[in-house]
Amino acid sequence: MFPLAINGIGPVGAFGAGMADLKAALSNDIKITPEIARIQTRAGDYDLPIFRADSKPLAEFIKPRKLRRLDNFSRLALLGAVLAVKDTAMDLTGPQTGLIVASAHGASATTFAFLDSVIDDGDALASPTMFSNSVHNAAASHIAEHFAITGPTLSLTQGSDSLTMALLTAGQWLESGRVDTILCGVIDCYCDVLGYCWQSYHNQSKSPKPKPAPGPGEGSLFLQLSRIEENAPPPKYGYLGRIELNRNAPPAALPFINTGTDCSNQLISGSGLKTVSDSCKNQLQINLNRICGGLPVPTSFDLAAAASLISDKHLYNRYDRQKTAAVPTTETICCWQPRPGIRQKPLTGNCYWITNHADLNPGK
Amino acid sequence: MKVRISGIGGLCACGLDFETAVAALFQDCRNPTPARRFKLDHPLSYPVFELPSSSLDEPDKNQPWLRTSRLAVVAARAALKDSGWRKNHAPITNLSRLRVGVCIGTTVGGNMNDEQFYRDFKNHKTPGLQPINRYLQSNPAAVVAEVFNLCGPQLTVVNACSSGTDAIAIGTEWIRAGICDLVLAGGSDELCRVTCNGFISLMISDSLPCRPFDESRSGLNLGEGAAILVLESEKIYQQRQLSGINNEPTSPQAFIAGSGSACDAWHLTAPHPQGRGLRLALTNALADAEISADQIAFINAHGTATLNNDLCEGLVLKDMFPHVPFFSTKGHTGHTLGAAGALEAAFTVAMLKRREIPQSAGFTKIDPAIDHAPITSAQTFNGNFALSQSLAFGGNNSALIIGLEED
Repeated sequence: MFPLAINGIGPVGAFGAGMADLKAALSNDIKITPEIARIQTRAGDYDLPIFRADSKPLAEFIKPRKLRRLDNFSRLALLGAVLAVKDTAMDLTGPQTGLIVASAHGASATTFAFLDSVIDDGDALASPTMFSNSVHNAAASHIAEHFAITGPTLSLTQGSDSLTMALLTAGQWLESGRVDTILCGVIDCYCDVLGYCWQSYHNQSKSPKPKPAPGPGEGSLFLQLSRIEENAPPPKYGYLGRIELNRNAPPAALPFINTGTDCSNQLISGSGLKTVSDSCKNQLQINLNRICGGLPVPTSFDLAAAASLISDKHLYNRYDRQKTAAVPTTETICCWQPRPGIRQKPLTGNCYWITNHADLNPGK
Repeated sequence: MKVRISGIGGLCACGLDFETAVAALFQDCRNPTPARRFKLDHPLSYPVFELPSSSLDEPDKNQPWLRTSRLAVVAARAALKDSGWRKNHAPITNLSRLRVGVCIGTTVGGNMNDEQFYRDFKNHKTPGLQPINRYLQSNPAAVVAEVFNLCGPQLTVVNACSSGTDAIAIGTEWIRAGICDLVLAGGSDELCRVTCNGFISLMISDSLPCRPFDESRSGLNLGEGAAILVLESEKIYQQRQLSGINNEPTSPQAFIAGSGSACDAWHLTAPHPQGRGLRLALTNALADAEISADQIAFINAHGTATLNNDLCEGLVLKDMFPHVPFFSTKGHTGHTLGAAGALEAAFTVAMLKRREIPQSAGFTKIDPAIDHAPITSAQTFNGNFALSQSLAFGGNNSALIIGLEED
C-alpha cells in the first residue's frame, strides 16, 4: 500500500498560500500577524489571536462569478486543491482520479450562518444556500466539479486523526487499483463559536502548562498522491511512508532517548507534540503553531513542512531543545498525533512517515 | 476476496430491532407523523419517520453522546450478538485479540449544530460547554470503538446520503487489504430540527407521505435510524467454524461481492441529468464483483421521492437493468440520510435470505418521464446477487453488490 509518491502540495494558512509562502514563514522571512478577536466568556473578556487564512488568491484561478455561492470553507479547500494541482501540473480529469477531503469540524461557520437565518427570520425563511454549503461534502463537490473528477469521492471526519485516516484511505484506493492518482486534503475553518470554546476551555484548564498554540487557526492542505511507478523519476516531495495506528510515542525514538544515541535522522513534528515534549526532549522538533495557529487536525501542515524539509534538505525553523548540531541529513520524518483525551501511559496515537526512499520501510 | 457479513443490527421508524423492521417492509402500513421531539414552524406540516419513543430519547450517564451515536451503539450491539461474537450481555473479550475497525456513515452526527447553545451564544449569554463537549465526544466511529473496546482504525464517513454505503465499501476494503480481521460498518443518523429546516428550505420535502418513483411524487420525508454490519474476513470466519461452538455466527451466508463509487462532478444539489456518476459507480461495482448485470436478482434503489433523484435513478436502471425488479424502502423508513445506505444494504441481505422482496411503498402510477416502474407487490426472485445503491448530495454515487452463498 505504501509508500506513495507526493507529487504536489497546496497549503493555505495564516502564512499565505502555496509552498513558497509556507517555506518563507518557516524561515522567518515573513511575519505572521494574527487577527485579534474580542471573546466574551463567563470569566471575562479576552483578546484572542486568530490565525486566519485568506482565500483571495483563488481569484487568480477561478472567475469570481463561479465562486459567488461558495462559503469560506469551500473556498479555502478549493484553493488548497488548486495549488496542489498547479504544483504537479497533472491533469486529474476523469474517473481514474480519487478525491478525499478530511475535516475535524466541517463547515461549522456555515452551519451557524444557516442557524442565523432560522433564528433571525424564522424556520420558513431558512437559507437554502447556507444549508447546501453546510453539508460536510459540499467542498468535495465543488472541487470535483472544478477539476471534472469523476472517480470516487470521500469526505470524512475523525477529529485529530482526520488527515491520517484520509491518507490511509488514499493508500488503499491506489493499492487496489481503484484509481491511479488521488487529490487528498484536510480543511478546517475558524468561527466565532470556536473562538468562544477555545477561550472557555483555556479558562477552565487548571493545568500550569502553556496553551498548545497561541490561538486558533484555520487552513487547508491538499496533496496530489500516486503510486510509485517503475523507473519514474523521484517525486517532487519524496514519499509518504507507512501509516501506523495506535503507536506508542514517540515513534521509533524511545530507544534512542533511553540510550542517548543520536537520533538526528528521526524527527517528530507537530503541534500535538507539546503533549509529549517532555518525554522526547532529545528529539528534533518543528514548531508550526506560530505560523498557522492551533488546528483541530494538528498534523495538517506537518506533512507539508516535513516534505519540504525532505525535498530541500534544509531544516526550517528548527526547534531543538538540546541545540544539537546535526540535521539537514534528515531522510525520514515521523508526524505523530496522540489520541485526544487519553490519559493512560504510554500515550498512543496515529502517525505517518515522510521519507526520501521509495524502498524504505521507515521506522523499522 | 470474499468479505463475509456475519451479523446485522438495525433500527428505524418501522422497528426498534432489525427483524421487526424487515417484517414491517412487507406490511401495507406506514405512518409518518410530525416530529415528536421538536417543533417546526412552517405553513405546512412535514411528516417524518421518527423512531418510537424509547430510552434512546435522552442522553444519560451511560450513554452521554449525541443521539446519532446512541443509535449506532444499539445497532452495533445487536450486530455483534447476531454475528455470534457477543452472547447476550457478555463482554466480547475475544475481539480484543483481533484487529477490529469501525467505519460509520453519518450526516448529522458529524455536525456541531446545537441550536439552543447557538441561540444563547448569539444572545451573548455565554452558554455552558456541555453541548460542545457532547459533540466532541460523539464521533460515531470513535464511540462504537470505545464502547466495545475495539482498537482498529476508526473512520466516520460524511458523504451525505451515500455515507452508509460508502462506509460499508471502505470496511470491505480494510478487510481485503489485510488492515482488519473484522469491521463494524454501517451508518447512523438522527432526526434534527436543523436538517429538517434545511431540506424544507431546499423545497424537496413533501407534506404528504413520500411516493418514490410515482408520477405524483413531490419530495422526501426525513427519517432516522442506524444499521451496522459485522464484516468478517474469510480467514476469521473459517477459524470460527473450526474452533467450535463458542463463536459460531448465526447468519453467515451473505457476503459483500463488490462495490463501486463515482462522482457526477456536475452540481452541488442536482444529479447529472443522464446519471453519469451513477452509471460509472454501477459499472465499477459489477466489475469489482466480477458479475454481469443479468446476474442481479433485484435492486434496492435509493428512491427518495424527489423529482430529480427518481428521474435520474429510474432512467439509469431502465437502461442498465431493464428486466431487474427494483423498489425503494424509503416509503417505510423515510430518508435516513447517512444511515440510509447501511439500512438498505442490511435490508438487501435480509431479502436475499428471505427470497422475497417487498412492494415499493407509496408507488401507484408510473411516471412517463421515467417509463420504468418499481414493483407494486411482494414477490419472489431467482438469483444470489442483489444491488443496493445510493445517490448523494454533492454528486456522490455508490453501489454495493451483495451475494448469498448457494446452499
